[in-house]
Amino acid sequence: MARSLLGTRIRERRRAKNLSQTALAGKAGISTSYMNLIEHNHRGIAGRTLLAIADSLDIDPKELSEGADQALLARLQEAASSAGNTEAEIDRLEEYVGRFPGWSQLSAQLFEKMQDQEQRLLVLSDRLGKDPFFSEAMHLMLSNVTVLKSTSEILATTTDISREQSGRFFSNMQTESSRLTETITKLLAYFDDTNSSETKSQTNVVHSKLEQFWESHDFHIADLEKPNSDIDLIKPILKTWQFKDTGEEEQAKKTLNRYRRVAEQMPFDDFVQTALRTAFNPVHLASEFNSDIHDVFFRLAHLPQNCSLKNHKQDALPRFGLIECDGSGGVLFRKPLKTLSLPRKSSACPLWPLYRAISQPMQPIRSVIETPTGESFITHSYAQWSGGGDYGLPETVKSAMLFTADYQSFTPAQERRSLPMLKVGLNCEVCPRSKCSSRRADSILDSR
Amino acid sequence: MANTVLLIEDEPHIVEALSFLLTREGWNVATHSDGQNAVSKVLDIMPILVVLDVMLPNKGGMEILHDIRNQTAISKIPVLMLTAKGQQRDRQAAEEAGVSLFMTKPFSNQKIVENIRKLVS
Repeated sequence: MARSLLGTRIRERRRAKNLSQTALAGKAGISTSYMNLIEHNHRGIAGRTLLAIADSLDIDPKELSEGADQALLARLQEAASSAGNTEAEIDRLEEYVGRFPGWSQLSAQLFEKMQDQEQRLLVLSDRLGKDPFFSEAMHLMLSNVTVLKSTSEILATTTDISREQSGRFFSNMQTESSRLTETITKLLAYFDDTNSSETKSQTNVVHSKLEQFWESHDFHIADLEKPNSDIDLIKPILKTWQFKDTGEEEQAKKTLNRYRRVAEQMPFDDFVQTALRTAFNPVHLASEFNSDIHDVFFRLAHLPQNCSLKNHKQDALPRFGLIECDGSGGVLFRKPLKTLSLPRKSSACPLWPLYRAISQPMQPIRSVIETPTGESFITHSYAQWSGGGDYGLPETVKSAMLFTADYQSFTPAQERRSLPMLKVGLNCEVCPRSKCSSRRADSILDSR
Repeated sequence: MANTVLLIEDEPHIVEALSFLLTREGWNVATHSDGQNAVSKVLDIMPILVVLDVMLPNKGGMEILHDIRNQTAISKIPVLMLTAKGQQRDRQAAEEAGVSLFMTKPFSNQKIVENIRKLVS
């Protein structure tokens, strides 16, 4: 620790004990002028002198000499840099911490609180941007408002409109007003439920932090692709992210370890070449690399998007999404695509092959799914026993679904046509397929 | 049909309002409410302009736009896209697919008529 902080600390401790500089110097067996130099940070001390001063102040020498405040200093430095505040006297930060330990702790706590709130805002903002219920509700409301606006404009500006036509327009407006009210009521109820449970749950925040972590790396970590990468490569990544919760750090660590293991088992160049040769068929890839199908899914979902492919008809690698769940449908890992949202916890469309795979473990399923908005994806689903059983306990199962919309270029047309096409939704609440026999909840689109 | 604007939109009350507006401006209006067969409808009618919703059942507006631009007979027809999703990425995707104009809902009646007039002139 810099000596400036040490001197300031001695002065603060002395004042706290109502000791004069001369008295402390006398007790410690040094001259007042030397004590003055120490306290004003013009002399560094250690060893016997430090012990004597600490003894005279009746405190543990560690309180003076150890860098117990390093974390505090780091937080305050971070606070100053994150605020872009060039007015803060960074060069006198140690002095500030030493002289005003209470205030500096408070500043750091306020900064942490602000960071937590920013994080929470990000989670909520992310939720608004990606939540399929919210997105569909907004879409519906905008449609309702469009009718109301356009129709009322016509009624307000057209004088020669027939009675019959204006009657129809009024009726349309009444219908749209009712729909709008109904959608808003459902939306408010949805957010009420959400506020009382999900957004407040730590799990949701953990997922969001982890999601941000993966999204910021675009699900690919080049450092971990290096052969024989060492465990130390994971620590700096985790450190950069400063996971505050040990649970989320553990979860991130577990996934990074899995990433490294899978990358070592299926080295990048070999894997990409084999994937191109086998038309990205996970079953063939698992066989070629003597690997687990779920690990192949994981590998494909973590390929980089900026990889140029020479001598191949594709310009870039297809972008894969992935969802893994347990036997109850609880989400374990998710990599959504822009065009296919995934649930954070559970409750996706029951028709997804991901869930069908649970009922037939160890049997890969390949099919094309089509969402209500017309986007189609080729999917590979596979469930396998995940162990963990003991006498009297059931064997558990883990299912995964890999999917991509970029399959036209690597799946021959004939093969594409032979694949079963499933019309699915995202979840019942936002699904317009009203005649679906698997429906388990009303859709907000019922109001249409 | 000459002088026909084709509305591909699945919300009937929007179709009714737009049909009223465009008919008063002197255009014939044809409508289609499903993504499926939308391109065939364009080929049948050969409209002077297509007003195309992005979110349609069975086939999305973006895909329909793409198909229109890839069919020589109809590739030059102006397409005005309407969407309740005003995100930048939708706009960009539409521009890349060759949209003539992109408008977000709710729109102003005056503005949409002006835009259609400009596109067909």
